[in-house]
Amino acid sequence: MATIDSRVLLDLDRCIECKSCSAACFYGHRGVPGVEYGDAPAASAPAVCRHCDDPPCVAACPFEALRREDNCAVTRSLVFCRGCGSCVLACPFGVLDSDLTRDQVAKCDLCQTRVAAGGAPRCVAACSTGALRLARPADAGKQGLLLLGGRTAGHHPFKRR
Amino acid sequence: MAATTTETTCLFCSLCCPAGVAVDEYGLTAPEYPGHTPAAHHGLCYRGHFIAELANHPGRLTDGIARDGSAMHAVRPAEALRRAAELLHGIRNELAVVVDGNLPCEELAAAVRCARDGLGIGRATIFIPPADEAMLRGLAASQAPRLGEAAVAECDVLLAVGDPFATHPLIASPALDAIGKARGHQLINVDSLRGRTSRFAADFCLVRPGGDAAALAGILNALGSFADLSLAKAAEMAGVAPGALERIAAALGKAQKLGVLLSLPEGRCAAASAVAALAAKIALVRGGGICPLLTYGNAVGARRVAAALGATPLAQLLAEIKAGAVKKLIVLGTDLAAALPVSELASVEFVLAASAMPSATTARARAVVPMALWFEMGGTVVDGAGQRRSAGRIASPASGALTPSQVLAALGAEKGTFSFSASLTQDELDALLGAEAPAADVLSAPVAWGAPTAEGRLVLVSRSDGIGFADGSMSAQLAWPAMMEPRPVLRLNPRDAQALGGDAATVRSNGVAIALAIAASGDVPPGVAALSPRFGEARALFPWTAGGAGPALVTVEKCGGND
Repeated sequence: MATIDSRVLLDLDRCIECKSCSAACFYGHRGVPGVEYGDAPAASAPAVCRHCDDPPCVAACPFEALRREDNCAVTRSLVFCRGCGSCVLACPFGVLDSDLTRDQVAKCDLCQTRVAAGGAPRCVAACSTGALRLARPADAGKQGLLLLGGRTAGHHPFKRR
Repeated sequence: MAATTTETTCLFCSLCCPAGVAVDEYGLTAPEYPGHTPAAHHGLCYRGHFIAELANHPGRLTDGIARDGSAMHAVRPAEALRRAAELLHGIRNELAVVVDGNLPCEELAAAVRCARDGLGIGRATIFIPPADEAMLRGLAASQAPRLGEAAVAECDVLLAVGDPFATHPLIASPALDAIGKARGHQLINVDSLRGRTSRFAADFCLVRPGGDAAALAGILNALGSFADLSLAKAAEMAGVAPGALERIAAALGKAQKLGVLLSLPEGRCAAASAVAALAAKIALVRGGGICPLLTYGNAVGARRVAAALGATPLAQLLAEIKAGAVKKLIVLGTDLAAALPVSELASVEFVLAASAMPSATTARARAVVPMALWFEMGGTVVDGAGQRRSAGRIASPASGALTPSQVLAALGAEKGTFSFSASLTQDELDALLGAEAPAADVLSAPVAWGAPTAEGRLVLVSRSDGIGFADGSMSAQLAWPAMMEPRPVLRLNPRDAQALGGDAATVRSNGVAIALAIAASGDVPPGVAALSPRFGEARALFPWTAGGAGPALVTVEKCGGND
């Protein structure tokens, strides 16, 4: 299985908080939203799973529902997940959905089938301004982007907010 | 069967983006992302994703409904039509047909002709939202070029009136390209709330709710092109310092290519026609163009078809209802009962309604038949920039669903009067879409452009969230909007929220009182309350009329008294 070394980066200079990415994920995954929105007083921005190299959510899951695939994507099994919320508490970036009403925790799967076929995850493909990009974090600098914390970027990421 | 991708045009706003939808053996399944508009980096906004959900919505009407007193019965569509025909027997003068304007132009023309020539109904109205109508009325006299997305990306200065990034997210892509292209390119925003556009603006002018027209008049005055309102008076009416308007005028004066983005949703600005006319005047004075951002994808086309066929304007229809000349309505495709105040339609009987989904209108109608959606009809539409687009038919109508002209033809067949064809030749279509509604003088009363104020009351404006469709009927039934904001929330300035206390309030306006959850937001200025217009009960707080809905004066009291 080919490694997916690209991740979803957010360009703060272009995100208008429209939530199109959230809608695309919701409809693409049959009503399970994998793109969370972090609401802060000054702004709200999409928070997409970072697919960490050493994911705390995987370590925290008591049912082995979460695992890091051979292609480096962190996925969740619909069968084993019982919605206990341990991963939600463990994730240091707040990207997992804590709404347990469906007895499942919503989790980004990086739209692996689309990416493997050469496409982009739904959130990236749907982004109405090009703020979400699928790129190798190491390549962000080549695009003139300043990377903050590995996944958030921008030409002037401090200026607007 | 492997999924294939098919394209139509999204009619959820006047940008009319190409919308790709995957089709497999189960029908339309999910939105896809093929080539989109040339200027856009990527895909559809969230509204485009609703197409697949609407097509397969579990609440979609597939049967007819007949009402006997307060009891409702599911019947076959043909039976509902038969009952409607019985109710309409011998009635012509007191009857009017209202057809939704957000349908392909061929279908609109067929429906109007069918009503008039086939059924002999003199009054046929093509409905477009009052705010769209007001904006287009204001722009009708202007020669300012209309800008599409590609042209917006070429501008060096953009003046955004309202919050276009919230109401029309895809316009943000070329706008951000434009202002990011070179040093000195800038975005200027005039609005009564701090919205999404304001966060990208080099200069944000926060005006009083309803003060937009006065602010634009002041800018135009500072540009030396509007003498009817002095700069000082305009600034006072808009609630801003004269220097702020002069500063904007100076920035616009330096523009090599100016673009004006105009977004005037319902309940946001008081004199939408005047705002549109003034914005177009600013664009013309500076040699720029204007990008009208309308709620209905085919608002321009619908207005042209209405003008060409002499359809009854909505304002005239409401006046005739008020005068008692119209007592019965056939409503096809639009949720008129949700789109207009209860008082405007209290005296009229909805004999027949055609709708894809249950709505406030179908709840009042004596007979209901299921209706097809635009992507099940196909045809030609005209986007906000005046360009014709082909809105392809990508699915067969849902079981039992009819187009408006089919409903009227079937009604005529029930009465044994006629048969008809809905097809148009290219020449006929050209003639229809070449017509323009007559221009009106909308700048004659600048004294009326002041912001509404009253001691002890807040000014309620609609919050631009872009999810709410014009007639309030569709987004309320969709899964994603319901997940994002399942109930209406009144947003207040933190100071006002703290003074009120509690987390819920009773809001009174326009003879209506409703209880709402409240939330504090720094985007809302003191003395202002903001509310999403997509909830039917919340919409009743605004003074909706055929001339558009402006900000409302409301009293806000803590729920349950002062305890």
